[in-house]
Amino acid sequence: MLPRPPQKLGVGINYHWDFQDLIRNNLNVIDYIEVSPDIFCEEIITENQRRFRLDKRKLNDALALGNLCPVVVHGLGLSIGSASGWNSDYLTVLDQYAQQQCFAWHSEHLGFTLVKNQDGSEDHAGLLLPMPFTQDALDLLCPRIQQLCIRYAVPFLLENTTYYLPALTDTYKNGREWDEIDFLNKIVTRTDCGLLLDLYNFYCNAVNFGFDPYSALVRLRLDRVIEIHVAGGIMHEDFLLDVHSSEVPDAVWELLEWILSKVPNLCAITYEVLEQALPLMGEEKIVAQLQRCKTLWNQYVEKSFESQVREKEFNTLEDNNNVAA
Amino acid sequence: MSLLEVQRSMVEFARGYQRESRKQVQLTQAESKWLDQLPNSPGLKVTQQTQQWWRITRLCSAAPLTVELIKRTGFDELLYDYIINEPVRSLFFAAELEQFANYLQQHSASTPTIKILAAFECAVKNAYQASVSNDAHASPVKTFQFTYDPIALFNALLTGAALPSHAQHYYLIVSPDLPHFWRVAPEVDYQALGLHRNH
Repeated sequence: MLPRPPQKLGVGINYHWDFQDLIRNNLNVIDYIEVSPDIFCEEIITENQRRFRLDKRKLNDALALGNLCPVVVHGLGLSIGSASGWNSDYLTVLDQYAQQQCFAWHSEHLGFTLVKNQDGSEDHAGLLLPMPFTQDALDLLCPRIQQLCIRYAVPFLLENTTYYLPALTDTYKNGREWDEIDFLNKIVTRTDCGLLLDLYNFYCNAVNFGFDPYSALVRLRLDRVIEIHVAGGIMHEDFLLDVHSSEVPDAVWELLEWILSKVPNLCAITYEVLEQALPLMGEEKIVAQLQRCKTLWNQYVEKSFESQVREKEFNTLEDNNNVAA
Repeated sequence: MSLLEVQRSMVEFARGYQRESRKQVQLTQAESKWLDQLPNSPGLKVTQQTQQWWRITRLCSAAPLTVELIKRTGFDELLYDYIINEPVRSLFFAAELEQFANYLQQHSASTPTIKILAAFECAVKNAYQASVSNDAHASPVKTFQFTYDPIALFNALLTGAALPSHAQHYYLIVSPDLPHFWRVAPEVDYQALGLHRNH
């Protein structure tokens, strides 16, 4: 189980310095920001060594905004699933960031980008690749995840990703192959991590590999879902792509509305959008997406949370009355 | 097949240069089936293209002037050749820019102006980084000699206007101490810096 339940935050957006004005102007809709510390860094590569350098100017801008609303961390560069070792420089950056900014939880993508070759050189995939759904992958990931669950004394969440390649999978004794849901459930069963359920990513996989997202999601350990991502993308070569370039498709809104009553520990809904989409979409459309998230949040999560609090207060009052009697 | 071998295969497929992995390791039936599936899977092309798009996007952000000059002067092949043949080292802009600038310096099809512009953008990026990390020594003063009026050239590349014609020599100085990290310099300043060599 999770080390301690995080606070309910509401609706947020991924942070980029291009969004500074948008965020500051809409703090009535935006309850928190999701920050990727990687974006404050540049990577310096010399020979076969890589190291990060923090851009203090960009960092300070984000810290100033962090004084106005809560922050959650969403990492990009850890490469948590690399068999040849994760990117420990990312953790150094997160350590530095954690010294300057409190955050409610931190998260990473389930996948890998880096591999070491036989000659010791490092290869980069150029994009996040998915983990095979196998026992080997599980054995590699779980101890790392557990380390991350305790490292910052705040919960750690793992995010499901989009993939376009067929997965290498283990099989159960009855011959059924492990799928993404089995793999995520096995991870949360063996570790204390929560789930960052990216509904758009999951919907992409459902469209691209032809399965029903609803019947798949009911098999997921929904009690572990702490944060939900929604986003929009494009269709290319008959594949729905995860590019965060547009409005959330109707099918994902429907999935979100359907799932909100089934995720009792949900603390946040983040609308993810690329900074390059800002001039194309415009601030108004982006805010409209956030507003729609907020309406659903108020309708399902806030209402249910308030009734839970009221029920708890009532029970406490009743207990006190019984003691007094 | 170890997890490391599986991941090496996936990276090779994603980058489009798969080795003969199966000759080197013993495969289970599932691994063999998976490796057979990959080359013909419709998602492989999408994976490769996605990786290339992200890289083009990084280049456009990291070296907007150079990329625009390459396109405007009909040297698009340099971009494709770089993306296909140069390994991905990083998802970060500065590292990509450094690698791209080095590639252009060495490529015979690259023109002197493309080389100078890439080196200039790289130097500005380094000067900015040195400035924000208060480490001026990390990026010493650099000078560049253009055969275009640089202001007219940058304006044309950013606005889509026609490229200026070649003119006399122009000199630029890049330093972390300058307000925008660069300025056009009179020849006398350039000579005074004692760095009158072509970049």
